[in-house]
Amino acid sequence: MSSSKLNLGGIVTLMAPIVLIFFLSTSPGYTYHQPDESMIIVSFKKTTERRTLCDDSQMEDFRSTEDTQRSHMRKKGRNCGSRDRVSLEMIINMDGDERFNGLIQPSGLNSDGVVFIYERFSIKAGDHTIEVKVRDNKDPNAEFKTFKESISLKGHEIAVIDYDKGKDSFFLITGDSTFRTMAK
Amino acid sequence: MESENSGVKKEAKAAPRGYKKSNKQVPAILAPGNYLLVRIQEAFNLIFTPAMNPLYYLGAITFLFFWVILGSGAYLYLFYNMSPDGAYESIRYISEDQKYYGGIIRSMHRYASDGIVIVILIHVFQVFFSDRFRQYRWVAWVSGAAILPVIWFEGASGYFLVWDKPAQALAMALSDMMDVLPLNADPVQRNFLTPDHINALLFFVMSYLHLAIPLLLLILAWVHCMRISMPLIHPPKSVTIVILSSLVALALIKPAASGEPANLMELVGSTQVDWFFVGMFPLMHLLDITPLTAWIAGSLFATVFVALPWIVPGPNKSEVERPAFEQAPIEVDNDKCKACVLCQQACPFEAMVVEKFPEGSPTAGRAVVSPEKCSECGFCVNACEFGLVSMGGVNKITMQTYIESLFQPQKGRVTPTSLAFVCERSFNQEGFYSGDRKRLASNEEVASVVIPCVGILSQTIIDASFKAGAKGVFVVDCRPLDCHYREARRRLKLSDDPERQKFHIENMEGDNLKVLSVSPFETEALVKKINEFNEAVKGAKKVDESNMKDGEV
Ligand code: HEM
Ligand code: SF4
Ligand code: SF4
Repeated sequence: MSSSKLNLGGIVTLMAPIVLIFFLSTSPGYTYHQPDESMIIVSFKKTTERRTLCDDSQMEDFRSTEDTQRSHMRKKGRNCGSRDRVSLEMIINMDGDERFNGLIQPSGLNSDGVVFIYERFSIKAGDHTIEVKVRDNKDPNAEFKTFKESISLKGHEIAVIDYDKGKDSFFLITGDSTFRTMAK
Repeated sequence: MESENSGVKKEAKAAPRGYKKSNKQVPAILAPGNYLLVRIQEAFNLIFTPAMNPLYYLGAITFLFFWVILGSGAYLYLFYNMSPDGAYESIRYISEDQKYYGGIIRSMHRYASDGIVIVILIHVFQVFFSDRFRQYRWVAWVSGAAILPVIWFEGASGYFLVWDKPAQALAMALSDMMDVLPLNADPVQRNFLTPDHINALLFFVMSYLHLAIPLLLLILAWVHCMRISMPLIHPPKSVTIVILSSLVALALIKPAASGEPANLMELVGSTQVDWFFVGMFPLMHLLDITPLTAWIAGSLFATVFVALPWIVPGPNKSEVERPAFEQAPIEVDNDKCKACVLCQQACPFEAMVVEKFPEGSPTAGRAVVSPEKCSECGFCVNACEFGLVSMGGVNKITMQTYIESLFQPQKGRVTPTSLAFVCERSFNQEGFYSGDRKRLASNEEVASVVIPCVGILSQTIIDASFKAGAKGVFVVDCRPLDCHYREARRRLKLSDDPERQKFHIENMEGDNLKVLSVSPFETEALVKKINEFNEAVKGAKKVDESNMKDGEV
């Protein structure tokens, strides 16, 4: 094999991985979201009501077992009734369209933990009204609590809807990191 | 192993069998890929010469990239700020304020990581299609398979640390992947909800993982090479220089740069993507593949991948022509063992271990074979100068007797003038031999001995061939660095050891001994060369003594 051929072949072969790295290390790029897209993320944690609470007779029972148990067998802060909690029902409407309607289970093997929500909603930039309806009472006939807010989103802006335990209400964090409590 | 096929023992009754089928050493299912692989290797041999062919140094090149990554990474760590607020700026500082050292080092860190992915993929392709991942090689395969996700995570975590827009996209994608696993009730996604939610601890953990994973990789790499004696872990100087200068060139032409800083209150629009490490996430997004589907598909693939050594059936042995010295389990006559360790040194797969006994013991020691690690390559058979190692009944003595038998005058047949030792794996030997495989089909004057690998030859065997009557000996082996049993790799490492010199076929070369490494497609040229060689040695009156001096036993 002549040396000129050898060099050419060698250069081409060696260039192949270099060219691969040159391009594939950054390109082709990928557009995750178009410029006019924005997003609302609904994410919060909430403790729902216990499924059953003590009635008077259970309370009596509970007290008596507590007395007879040795102290180390007692669970601190143990309540009577069942430990499991109700699921959270949530409906999310955006500009009148229902975007979410679901029942979210509390965490934990015994469904006795907190309800965690993390839902993303892709939405066009612009003005929108958002309505969050939740219900987490053990009483199946309880009313939904409804929160509503109008928002104006720029392209690529992300707004977050979170829950404020202290105020038992939802609030909105907009792209510029300002907070706004949602109207009940 | 069917011992009745042993050429040595059943010489008289062996039915004539020609190499009618094509080379069946490789499992049928791998044959097309093997063909492609060998064609590519041969093209590279033309370009780089077989001694410098980078395809024969892929494991070593992977190590080289790994050292570059470690070195450059150590430098970057000096300046890296492990906090969500400081990370981006600290990397900008390295890239821009230290453009000509920090910037280059950062780029080399990135490009060596990309390079390692390319090289590993080719390495996997190569070991798979050359059928070097099954049986006694399963440890290398399974540990290699374990390395893959670890290397991937190392790269991905590196991209996370930059905390730019691509890192933000990655953080989202990774947390989406995590959150379908039933590990943690609190969604990982919430860690990236708003800038206030970012868990500084998480950043810390990612940084330390990025630092600790290379240690894990070193351990895995050690396991990877555990059953490979003297693995080639350093590429030749010229290959090293070419790779390092390519990395520097890449760093200068296209310095690695960060994207826009991450902002959790803003969607990721168009970003650059390193397809070697994080390319699956844009693809998942584009094709709408859910994390759950990805996990299921990934786990299925991983399971099959790890299990390949047990899934891929071996070659159909009944279709494979057997070598004259049948491969079989190794036996050692330990009563006379001198504990000289030559057999252990000869073993390419750490299957032979010599234990030395304390002085005053009845024997000096013993050589123990682990059958599950043994490739039955037979290297140890001739390595033992005392003839204590045998393979399926074949030992140094029976080998010599067999060679002598080839030169016994036979009625109606010319007595051969030269002898060809042919590695059964070296090329497609269809129609290469006469019916009884003891002569070349093309030339009755050339006796042939089919061997599992040239590694079983030694000076003793070569000398015995001359003594038996051969005027010339021709050895046909594979591309040395592509030897199935890693013979030439060991020879490279052992080249300074005088004890081992006599096992280096090349060192025995002379006027009456030729070694030819062939590509699997060169039968015709090979036949021509052997015939020419035979003609040349026929005229010679006497065996060239120089070939016999030092190794005479
Ligand atoms: C960090 C990544 C890796 C490194 C540094 C590496 C390095 C090496 C080295 C140095 C050898 C020995 C070569 C020799 O001297 O014969 C080897 C052999 C091998 N590697 Fe890897 N390897 C890596 C990844 C992989 C992966 C991902 C696989 C496949 C899943 C793999 C499968 C194998 C097999 C089966 C062998 C045995 C081949 C033989 O015995 O000829 N390796 N590797
Ligand atoms: S046959 Fe090969 S692999 Fe087996 S013990 Fe001997 S040298 Fe080692
Ligand atoms: S080469 Fe022979 S004598 Fe030496 S250690 Fe091995 S078996 Fe024993």
